[in-house]
Amino acid sequence: MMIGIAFLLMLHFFGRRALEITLFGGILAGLFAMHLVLRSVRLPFISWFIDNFEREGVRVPGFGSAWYAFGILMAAVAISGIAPLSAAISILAFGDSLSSIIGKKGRFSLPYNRSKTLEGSIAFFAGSLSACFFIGPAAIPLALVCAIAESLPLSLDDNITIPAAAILFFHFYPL
Amino acid sequence: MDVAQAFFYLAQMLDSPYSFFSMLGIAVFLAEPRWEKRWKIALALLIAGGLALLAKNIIMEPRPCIGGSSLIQCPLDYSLPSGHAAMAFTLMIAFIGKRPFPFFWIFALLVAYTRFYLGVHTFEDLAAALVLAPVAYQFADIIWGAFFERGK
Repeated sequence: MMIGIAFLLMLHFFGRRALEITLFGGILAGLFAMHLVLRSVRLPFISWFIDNFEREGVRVPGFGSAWYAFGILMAAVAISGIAPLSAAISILAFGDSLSSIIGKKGRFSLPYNRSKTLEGSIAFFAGSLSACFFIGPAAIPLALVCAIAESLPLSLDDNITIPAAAILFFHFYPL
Repeated sequence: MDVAQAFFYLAQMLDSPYSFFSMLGIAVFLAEPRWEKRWKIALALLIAGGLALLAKNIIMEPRPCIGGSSLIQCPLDYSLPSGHAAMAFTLMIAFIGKRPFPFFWIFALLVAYTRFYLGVHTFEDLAAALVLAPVAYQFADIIWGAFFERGK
């Protein structure tokens, strides 16, 4: 969530190009760091970050976090306008984070995806309403579309499917 | 021949589909000894190229060189994302954690920079290509797992 807020601040203070360059450089540097970690090199901060924050069961350590950067970069390239882009980033920052926290404690599994819970999807929708701050009431259908995309049993990472849903939304509903 | 001229020739060589695909093929052949993995990487490259082509024709972003500002003849297709860079980044991701990764990391950066240097792509095209690469590799992983590793 904090990283998402940092990207939002960067977008508003330094502009889209600065965000894109930071993400592009950060991803390339991050991939090299992941390679070194896979080659059993201990890197200060990065190894600690992977040990403490990486999702369980990932094949490449750190790639879970890399998907997040890939998702925001995808949104930055494909969504025109600062307000819609801010809305998409805020959904990743607040909606996805909230659903991860609450979804794990949920009891009711979704009928079409047993690995996700209804509580998690509701939390995602609620967190995604933070996009109202940037695009007003249009955030409600956007949050709904992204919540549905997040809940689908797809093989792609959430951090790609959520911005992809936001891109499609703004394609058909330009602000 | 000075450095700038040598770099221009290199960029031109990477631009040509014949030399670019030959380079990719030779690099994969030399860096990866297992045939099964070679075919999987080839599948990932095919998917990356296909996705880039699909995205180009959906987004229909015109080339930045329209009007004659590029160092080479402006390509006739659309700009976003860069197909060359998407394939180079996919190759880089395929080798993460393997000994030849640094070579492919530098190669991908070089390919991406030459597209920008020649004036046929913008920075956004290269950024989109970087996003496309893990998606293409993920699709290749899914397809490979579903069709070729079933029953193993």
